[in-house]
Parts: sequence; C-alpha cells; structure tokens
Amino acid sequence: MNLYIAGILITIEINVILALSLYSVISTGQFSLAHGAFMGIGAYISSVLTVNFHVPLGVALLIAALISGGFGIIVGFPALRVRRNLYLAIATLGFGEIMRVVFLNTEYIGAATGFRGMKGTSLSLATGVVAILIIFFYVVERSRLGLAREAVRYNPDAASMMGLNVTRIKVTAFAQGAFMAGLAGGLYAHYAYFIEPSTFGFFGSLIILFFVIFGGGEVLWGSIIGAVILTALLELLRFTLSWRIAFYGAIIVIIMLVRPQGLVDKNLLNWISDSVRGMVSFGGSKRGE
Amino acid sequence: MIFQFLIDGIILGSTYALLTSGYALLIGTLYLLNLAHADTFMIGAFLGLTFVSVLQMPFFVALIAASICSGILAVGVYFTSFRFVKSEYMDVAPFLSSIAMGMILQVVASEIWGTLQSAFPETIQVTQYHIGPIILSSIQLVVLLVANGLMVALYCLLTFSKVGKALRAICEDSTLAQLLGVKASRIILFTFFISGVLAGVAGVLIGFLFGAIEPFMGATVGLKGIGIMVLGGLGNVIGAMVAAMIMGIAEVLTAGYFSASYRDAIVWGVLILVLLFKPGGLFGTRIQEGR
Repeated sequence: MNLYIAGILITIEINVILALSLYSVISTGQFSLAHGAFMGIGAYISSVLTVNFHVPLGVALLIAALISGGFGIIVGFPALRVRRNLYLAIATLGFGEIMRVVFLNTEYIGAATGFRGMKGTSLSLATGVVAILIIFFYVVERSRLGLAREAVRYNPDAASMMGLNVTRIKVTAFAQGAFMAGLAGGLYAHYAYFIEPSTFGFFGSLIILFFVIFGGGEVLWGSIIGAVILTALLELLRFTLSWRIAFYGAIIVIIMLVRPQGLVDKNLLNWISDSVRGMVSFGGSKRGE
Repeated sequence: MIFQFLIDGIILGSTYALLTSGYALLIGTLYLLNLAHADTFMIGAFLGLTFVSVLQMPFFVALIAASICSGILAVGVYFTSFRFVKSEYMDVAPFLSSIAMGMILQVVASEIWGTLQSAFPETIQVTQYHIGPIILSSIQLVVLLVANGLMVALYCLLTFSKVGKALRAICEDSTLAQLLGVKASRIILFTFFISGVLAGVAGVLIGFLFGAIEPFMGATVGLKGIGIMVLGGLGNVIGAMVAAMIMGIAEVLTAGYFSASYRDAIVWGVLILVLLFKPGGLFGTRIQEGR
C-alpha cells in the first residue's frame, strides 16, 4: 500500500476515534466543545513521555489517556450543574480556551513553537485501537449500562426516578470520552511528528463536533460514518486550498437545514435492517401477512 | 498606576460590552446563541478598515457604514442559520449552523484581506491628555464615548421604546406576546440587525484601539464575548454590560500585575468559577435559570 493512502487511512482512523470519544459524551445527552483540549492533553503528555523519558509508545498512550480522562472527570462534574446544552457548550468552550492558553505558554512543551520528534503510530496500531473501541461500544450499548445511558439521555429526571445514578453515569461517560480523545491525541502526535497548540483549540473541538453532528449523534454508526466521510471529503477538497474550510462550513450549514439529526439516524438504521430482512425472507414464507 | 489600569480596563470593557450585548440580545429574545456574531464583529472591523483606508471615508462615516453592513450581514446569518433550521434536535442545530457560517466568513475574510495582521490607520489626531495620575489618548477617549453612548442608547431603546417593550415581552413569553399582537418575526429581524450593528461598531472600535486586526480575532475576542455574556446572566443585556466592564478591568489588571499571556484565560477561569457556584451568572434571574 502506498504511503499516501496509508496516511489518509491513519488520519481517518484517528478521526473516527475522536468522533467516538465525543459520541460517548453525546450518548448521555451531554455536549462538549472541549474535546480538542482533551486531545491536546493526550498528545502533549504522551509526546513528553516518549521523547523526553523514552517510555514505550503503548504505555505512554495509556498514561496520557488516563490523565486526559482524569481531566474529563474534573470538567464533567461542574458541567453537571449546568442543565441546558447551551450552558454546557459554553462551560466546555471555556475549559478548551484555558487549555489552549496553557499549551501556548508552557515553555517545557515548546509553547507556541510546538513540540517535535514523536513517531511510531502505524496503520495496524490505529486500526487495532479503532476495532477495540467499536467492540467496546457494541458491547456497552447492548448492556444494562447502555440502556441506562439511553434513559439518562432522553429523560434524566425519569431515569433518576427509576433509581439510576444520573451523576455517575454522566461523569463516567464524560471521562470515558476524554480518555478516548486523549488516546486519539497521542496517536495523532506520534503520527504527525510535530504538534502545536493551535491544533487543539476551538477549531479542533469544532471539527470533532462536526463529525458527530454530520454523521448523526443518535447512533454509534452515525459518528463513525460522519468522521469517515468528512475526513475523506476534506482530502478530496484539498485542491481548493484555503477555500476548503469554507466548503466544509457550507456542507454543515446545508445539513443543518435539511437533516439536523445528521445523515444516519435510528429510522434509517431500522429501514436498512428491515429492507435487508425483507430481501432475505423474500420468496420464503410470507410471515405476518 | 492602579487608576491608569482601571481606566484602561473600562475602555476595553466598553468595547466588550458592545460585542457582548449583541449575544445577550439574541439569547434573551430567542434563546439562540449566534456564534457567527464573533465573525460578524471581525468582518465589521475589516469593513471599517477598508472604508477608512481604501475609500478614504472620515472615521465616523466609516464607523456608521461598517456597522450598517454588519447589521445586514447578521440578518443574512439569521436566514441561513436560524430562520429555517429546526432547533428541536438537541437544541444545538442552529448553534452549529451559525458556527459553520462563522467559519465561512473567516475564510472569506482571510481570502480578501489576508491572514496576517492588518494595521488600522490612525484617522484622527492623536493627542495625550493628562488628567491627574491618568494618561488618556484621544483614541481611547473616542472609544470610551462612542461605546458608552451606544450602551446608553441601547438601554433607552430596550427600556422606553415600543420596540424595546415588544422585545422584552418576547423575552418573557414569546407565545403570549404574539397572542397580544407583537409581530415577532419583524422584531426578530430587527434584533439580529441591532446585534450586527453593535458587533460592527465593536469591531471598528477594537481595531481603532489596538491599531491592528486579523481574520482570527473572531475566534479569540469574539468567543470571549460569549463567556462575558454568560457571566452577566444569560440574556441579561444590562448584566452583560456590567460583566464586560468587570472583565475588561480584570484583564488589564492580569496583564499589568501578572502576565500578559494569560489575559485571554482570565475570562474563562472566572466564568467556570461563577458557573460552579452560581450557574445563572452574576446577574441571572429566576427566569434565566429556569429556561
């Protein structure tokens, strides 16, 4: 496989991990504009560990992701006090901006000039992580925890009446999201060789959000498909140079106008599984007629 | 020194107040967060720059022209991102659409005016006034007078005029207001226009004050406006103005006594603390917390 294709595949996989990290927050009815910052925390910590302390990549990634998850708990708790999504958007935006300023002013990690020298993310490593995460979500969504998350998402008051610990479920989901974003950040840093603070600012968080919203935040596959399509699209639009961000914006504006729930939603998935089932049973016994 | 910092902070705060009250107006009337507002502000600054340097307009004419153009731009954003976008889904669809509009505006601005900082020409005679321990330049004086004049005008508009009354009625209960004969759609258009005008004036004044503008200032100064707005109590225009003054002073003090590089973080630090202990913001009322 040529290097260019491999590079695009790794980018797509890192973006899928990022989309999944935000999906885990959205699947409990929360919202985050701080995922760029979590990604940055993971990227910087894992880079410092591998470059300055010569820690093996796998261990560094895990430590970085755990620390990022810890930050997720710290942000997740105050976020619970703000009930509406709009407030949550603003509070997480604030955390993201603070982290950007911190990255920009910490001399140890290169401040504005960035940090360099990381390598080691291979296609197989990224693919392995994506596979593990998809299996993880697949199992969780079919477990009691998955049901609890869905309940919290659609009606937190009723969920708490049923005896669910809404606070714990929400904070766990937030920490889980931050953990995954940190992991993606570490993978990104060791793929990109060079990182700088501006990657992890407001715009970084936005791009992650767009993956999920474009693909559809209701279902797991929505976020994955959103990340794949938008990353590929950005690559295809490369010839338009600086205008591609504008195209990107236009796509989001249009999708919000015609399909605010995103490309893939529950109805679409049901329709697909119904028609697949229809095709399979076609010609067989006409059950149910 | 402290007096100098205070007056500098108030001047910075008055430009923030202009920017922030635009956000607060939209949140208050429609419960809509328009993130393209930040980039409307940036476009306003560049339009002002173009009017002054290319079209050779006098400063005040350019200020008015740029603010009217920004107002029209804000109405345009209303049509692309709010008028036809359903908000039922997670109540963030219009918000996201407006972010995307902001991105488009940012690209357009960097294509037209370049991504580097552009110098804002000095259009009036710069003189220094010494008042006691304070040094005030004529630029600062103009900014102070224009911004605070507009704030008073906005306050009067909201409090005494018929439009202001209708606006506040929609803010309290939009259905009831419409039943009582308030033409909501017209008022909404007007609100977007006013918020755009305020953003435009804020953009030109900030360019005038700092002497330089760039296409990415929407993402730094513009976002700060949101933080200040929440600090003042969501949708509370007067609260937003007071919070803007407080933040202006806090920023100047941070830069003066601590470190200039952390001035952008101070707003968000204060904001997160306030949200922790008083989720409705400093001047949040019962209505704003319940919504």
